[in-house]
Amino acid sequence: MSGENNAEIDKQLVKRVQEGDKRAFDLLVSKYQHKIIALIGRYVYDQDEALDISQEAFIKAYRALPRFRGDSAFYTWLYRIAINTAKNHLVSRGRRPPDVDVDVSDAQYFEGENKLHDLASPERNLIRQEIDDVIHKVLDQLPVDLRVALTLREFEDMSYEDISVVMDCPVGTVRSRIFRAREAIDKEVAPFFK
Amino acid sequence: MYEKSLEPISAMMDGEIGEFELRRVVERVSNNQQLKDKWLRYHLAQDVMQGRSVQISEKIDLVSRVSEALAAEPSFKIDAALPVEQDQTPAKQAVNADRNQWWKPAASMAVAASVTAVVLLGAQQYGNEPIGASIEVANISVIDQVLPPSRFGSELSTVSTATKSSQSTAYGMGQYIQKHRDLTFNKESSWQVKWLPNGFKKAQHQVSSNSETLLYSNGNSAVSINIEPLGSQVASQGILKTDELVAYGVRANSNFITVVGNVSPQIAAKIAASVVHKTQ
Repeated sequence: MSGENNAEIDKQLVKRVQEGDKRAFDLLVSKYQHKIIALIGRYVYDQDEALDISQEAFIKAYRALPRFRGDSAFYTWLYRIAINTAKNHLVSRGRRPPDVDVDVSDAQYFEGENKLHDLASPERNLIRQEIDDVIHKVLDQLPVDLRVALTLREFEDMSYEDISVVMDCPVGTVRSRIFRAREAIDKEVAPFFK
Repeated sequence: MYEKSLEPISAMMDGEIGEFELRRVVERVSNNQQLKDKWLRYHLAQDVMQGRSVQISEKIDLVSRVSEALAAEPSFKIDAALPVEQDQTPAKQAVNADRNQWWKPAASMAVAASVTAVVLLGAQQYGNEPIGASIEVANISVIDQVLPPSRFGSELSTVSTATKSSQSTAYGMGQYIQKHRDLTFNKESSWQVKWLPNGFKKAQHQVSSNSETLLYSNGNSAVSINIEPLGSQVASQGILKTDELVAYGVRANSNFITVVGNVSPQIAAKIAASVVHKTQ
């Protein structure tokens, strides 16, 4: 299943970093930065502070990578480092870490009642909502083949091979359809970041 | 040509490329700011679609900050003699792996889970109550303000916002109104299901003012397909599995198609993808 594939690509990127390719670490930072900042935002109010802690967490992760052999998923390991960095940061500032911790395994989707501080300002919430709306609008307008391929991939976590069976087409076609669907979405999402 | 060259980035996201291609893509992306941005946005869109917690700001560029901070750090080659850092015991990893498996679909189906239970209930009621059980479900967004939660039991209580006062009368009348609508609308199906598993034949078909439900069966298994205008559905896109049934909902142009049955998710998705309007 592609959830495993997702962890697998992390593992391969980690391996490349461990073999001396620092550029591969950029891709991991890029992939996880928004999630890590959101996670740390549950411990601190200020966005600049959250960015500093996130940066420190990634640097710690980089330095610890030689000792990471992939016994747990990279993101689980990274989230744990980020949480510890945030808590240490609070302690070093004489602030008490919150009693309620964020479970690493749930952190990706954490929206619960025991939410700690939340960085999201109304403006940022609006951006997220707008992006969400744009994505679903594009999804609705996609040709059915592209929409089904992307839906099976993103919402059902199916591998290209499984999707090719469901859609009765070659794996290469699945790959192309998912890419074209993502490109259609990206065309509308990109202006938010200019 | 440019677009075609981006395809491996998408495949890399999904872990669907080999080691050789991976190396080439990492090199290309790492040396090209536009491609780096693309990689970032692809993941961000994926996170948003899957309901993950992300912090979005056009000003965030942690990659450059981390990269600059690490510029003076040496690259390293892994030393197999180094101790392994483990943040979890294997047992806890296994538990968390299970929890992640549970979380992911649960998050993407946050809305659908409570609501699709009603769809499942609708399918289960076919045998006892042939009068448009699923049609009622399709119209729930219209009449839920007068539906008593007790009528459907705990399953429906998660979606109904009804109060108890004078609701049972309203519900009962609602059924007759629905019967009337069913009688006065054209019974001819406007939709065609182009693909079904072998042996499945149409068993029932119901049309209401804003939805159409088709039931197919092969004698052992049954699949119901509900088509309604986008916006009137009570579930979001996604899939819900129970011990016996799968419910799969997907947008299709200006409609929302829900497939419920004791089939695999793949089959449900394939059926949903094959539904077309007869004019198409």
